[in-house]
Amino acid sequence: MRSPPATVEALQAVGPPAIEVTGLSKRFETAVGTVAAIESVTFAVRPGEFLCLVGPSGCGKSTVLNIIAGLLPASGGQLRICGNPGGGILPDRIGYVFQRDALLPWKTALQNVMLPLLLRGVPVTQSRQDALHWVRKVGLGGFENHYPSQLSGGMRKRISLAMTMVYRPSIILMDEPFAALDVQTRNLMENELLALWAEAGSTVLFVTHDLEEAIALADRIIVLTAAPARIRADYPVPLDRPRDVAEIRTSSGFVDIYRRIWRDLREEVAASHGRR
Amino acid sequence: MSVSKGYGPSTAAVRTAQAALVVGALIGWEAGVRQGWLSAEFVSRPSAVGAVIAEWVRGGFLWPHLAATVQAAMVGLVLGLAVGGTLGFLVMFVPAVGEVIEPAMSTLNAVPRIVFYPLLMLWLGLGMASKVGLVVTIVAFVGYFTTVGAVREVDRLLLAQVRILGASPAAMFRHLYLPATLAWMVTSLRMSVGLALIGAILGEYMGSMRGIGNVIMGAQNLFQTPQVMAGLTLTLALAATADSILAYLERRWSAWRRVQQP
Repeated sequence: MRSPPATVEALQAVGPPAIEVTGLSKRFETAVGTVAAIESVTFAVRPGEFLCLVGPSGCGKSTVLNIIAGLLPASGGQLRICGNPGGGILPDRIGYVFQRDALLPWKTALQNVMLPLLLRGVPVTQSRQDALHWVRKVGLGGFENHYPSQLSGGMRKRISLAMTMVYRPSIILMDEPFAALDVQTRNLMENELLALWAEAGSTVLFVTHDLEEAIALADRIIVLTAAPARIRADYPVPLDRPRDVAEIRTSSGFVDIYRRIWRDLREEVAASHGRR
Repeated sequence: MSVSKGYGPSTAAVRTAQAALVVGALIGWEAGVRQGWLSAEFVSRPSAVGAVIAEWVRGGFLWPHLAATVQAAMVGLVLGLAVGGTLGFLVMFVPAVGEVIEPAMSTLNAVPRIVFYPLLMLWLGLGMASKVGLVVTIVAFVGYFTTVGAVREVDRLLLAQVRILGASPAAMFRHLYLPATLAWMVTSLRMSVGLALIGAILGEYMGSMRGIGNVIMGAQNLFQTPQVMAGLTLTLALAATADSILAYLERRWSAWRRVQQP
């Protein structure tokens, strides 16, 4: 496996951005009229980059992800995935880890992880082998024949991760994937995610309202405004890797960045609350 | 299993109480008739009913009738669920079919299906086919409404997930809609089998060559109360057997629903 910094630099030098959105907007028609969810959002994610979108709850972060995933049409603006016009589902490029577990309840852990491979025409034996490898890799060896209802929340999240990583998408979208987990499980999962990401070299666009989580994970953080989402600020996170998400929170670099970004985010959170 | 769950009585105690209730009722019935409190002409006696059943079993009279009823109910059940399920999928996935058929299905569901039986007899004759037909007209609606409900209730998140993972429409059907529907079908199977038995025996009451319902009707015409009671008892046993087999299958087929966290 290539080491991530080399990958990032090499790809940066040659390739177009992994994700590029220009003037993206989204309006929803509701009973009370047209509501703007996103307003002219422009940003680019470099190949191999770990970018976090933070913003107050309900500001439209998930909508941005859903448009990039091809699950929602945009009302305006442009979307390019690896240089190609996006806007549809590109299953070989994009993986999506949702906030709620999206496992098929009637399939076992192994069968769930096998599904994306089977859908790509990988033969059953090969799929089983690869899926088993990933089930073990996320630490659930021995649980492959359990159904989702027989697994804990943290275990289900690991299977969701394996289900996405198994087909090696170059871009992984994550919508507050660890929000429902307890703090210890969450820290464990965040560290594992960083390790998997470093190994796979994929681009991650991670949505969260938790600034600490964002700083601990990301190379770069984009702060969105209260709804409708616009870009408020764009911060690099110059902290060394590999990181331990629990330990890094107490480092002086972390605290500095936190203070700077929180100044922006605080106003948006206040604005978002004032409106309710 | 005699492990008690929570604070309720243990399974063994419940079973014992249930058995005692049945035996008590039978003794009361027998004694009531022997003492002259109940008329044997109207309710017969357990011992007489038992003797009739024993005679039917020994003489081999029972088997063709039992087989006919079971066959009509089971074939009708499977066909009905398949027809109803297929119709449900067509309505949900082919908009043109949906707009035409959906209102008709709701209206037809309100019609008592027994009114079609004379017509079915004209078309299919007095044998197995018309009974199966009646069962199908009843069970197909369960299959249809179960399927429509299951497809409508499919979790939007799972839909998004399967799309992101690259499923074609055919793969979505196979990995999402079909298993979701089968899960609901399994849950409604015990209800469906009851309806299938109703259909089969109703058909036999209305006119048929063979079957438990046919036996009961024949005995009733001759005022043979023990024979009527024997037919009822056998129907009860049949329903109980079918229900416990299905309860077992339901447990097996929905293992994924059970939460077994350590």
